[in-house]
Amino acid sequence: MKEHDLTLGEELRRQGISRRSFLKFCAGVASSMAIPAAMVPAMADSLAQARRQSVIWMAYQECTGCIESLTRSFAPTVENLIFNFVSLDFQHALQAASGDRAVEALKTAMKENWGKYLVLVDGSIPLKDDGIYSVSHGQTHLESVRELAEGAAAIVSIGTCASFGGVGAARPNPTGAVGIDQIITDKPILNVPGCPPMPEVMTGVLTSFLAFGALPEVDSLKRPRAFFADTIHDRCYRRAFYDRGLFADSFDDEGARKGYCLYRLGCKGPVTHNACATLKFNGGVSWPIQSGHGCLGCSEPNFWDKESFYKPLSAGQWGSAEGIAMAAAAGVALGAASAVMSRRNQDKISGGK
Amino acid sequence: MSLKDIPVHFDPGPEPDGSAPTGMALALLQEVADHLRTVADGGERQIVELGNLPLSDGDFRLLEEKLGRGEVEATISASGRTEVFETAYTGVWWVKYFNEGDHPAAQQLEIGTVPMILEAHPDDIQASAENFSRLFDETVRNSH
Repeated sequence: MKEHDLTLGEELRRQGISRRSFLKFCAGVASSMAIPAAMVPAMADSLAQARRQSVIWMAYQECTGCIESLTRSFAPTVENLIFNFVSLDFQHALQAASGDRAVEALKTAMKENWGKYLVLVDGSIPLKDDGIYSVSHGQTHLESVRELAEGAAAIVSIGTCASFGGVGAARPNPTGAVGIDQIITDKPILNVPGCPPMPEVMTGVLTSFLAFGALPEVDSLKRPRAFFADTIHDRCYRRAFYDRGLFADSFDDEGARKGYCLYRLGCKGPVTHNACATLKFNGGVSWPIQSGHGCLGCSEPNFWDKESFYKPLSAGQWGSAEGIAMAAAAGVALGAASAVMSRRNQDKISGGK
Repeated sequence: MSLKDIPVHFDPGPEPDGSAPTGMALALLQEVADHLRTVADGGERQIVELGNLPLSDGDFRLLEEKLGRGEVEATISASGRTEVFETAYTGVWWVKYFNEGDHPAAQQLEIGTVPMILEAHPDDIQASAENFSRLFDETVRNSH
């Protein structure tokens, strides 16, 4: 909670951590963000020149699933990030202090880092009846997020609830829940949706904020393009079966056992933008489609309310047949020319270097 | 009655993650060939990230088989393990980064004289030089 005068490079060298660790950390981040590996040394140098970033992490109307997921980041680990590169000044679930002392710590961190701290939020915010449905320490979360946002450098909404309202905002939305960017409109906000979100996205976003001093490039839903530019379908290992028209028609038929495409069982992969098809969960162990279940579309707005998880896209509310056909066509193009495509993404990130 | 008495047979079915090569490995070898030409002609170090490509187990096997093993192998201990080996093609290095829990963190093919993780950083050498002169002073002082 004090001003950190040393650069991260100096601070860590005192602990006997060499620059090779920076290089390695950045190699992991660059890998998950499709940042050209050639930029890793520059990124590591820049991270070593940065100073420890004050981070305030708020839990609002949420289920703690997001933090469960994020603490299972493997490449690089979130512990590595928290212990070495940021100063996590407030987090309900992780901090030792409790009650008034915890709130005091929060106020101190805000005062000392006013205008510079980064706010991470998981959970939606209820608006109905002045937000009375979600309260901590006598303050509604609506008041809390407004107060915190005022002194924040930027806000990262973690999970689908903080990004789009998520489960809290599902019909009939009894608390009038919304995502953070519907309340705060005058600060840079980044959405990292997913139920839960990919841990590598958070380590990637925070590291690029530290190394490049800015939040990464985003799509129209404020999601970092490095992770959300492609659909699940674009990168799905079962894509070859889709292209050949081989589908599972029930969860225990011949097709399911052979690992055929789950489109007819309601997979939302073609319209869902996320990175789990390549990053996977639990350190690369598996991800929903690999375990034999279609994608639920958890990183898209209102995914709970878009008909059944088990109805094929063509029968649901996920967009017109045309939109789906386009997604499929884009997928085919990508499959055929993925090298070209990823090069183009890389150029965008590196400014063509 | 124990669990064993219940006549349930678990059939995991065939491995769903296709183990056959997808063609991606061949495309990658082509890319490596281009990079190797660039470096051979005096160009900068080139790096191919393997972690975010949809490579199947079969693709990895094919890559390992085709690239083979060369003269150099090294293990680096810095925030967990990093394994480096030169492939049978001089200048083409395989670098595997693992995190503290020994889970794979990133995997790259580096084409150049020496992988960057093996090089000492100038700032670290600077700190090392300062520490070393202190060590020298202390040793001299203690011997008198």
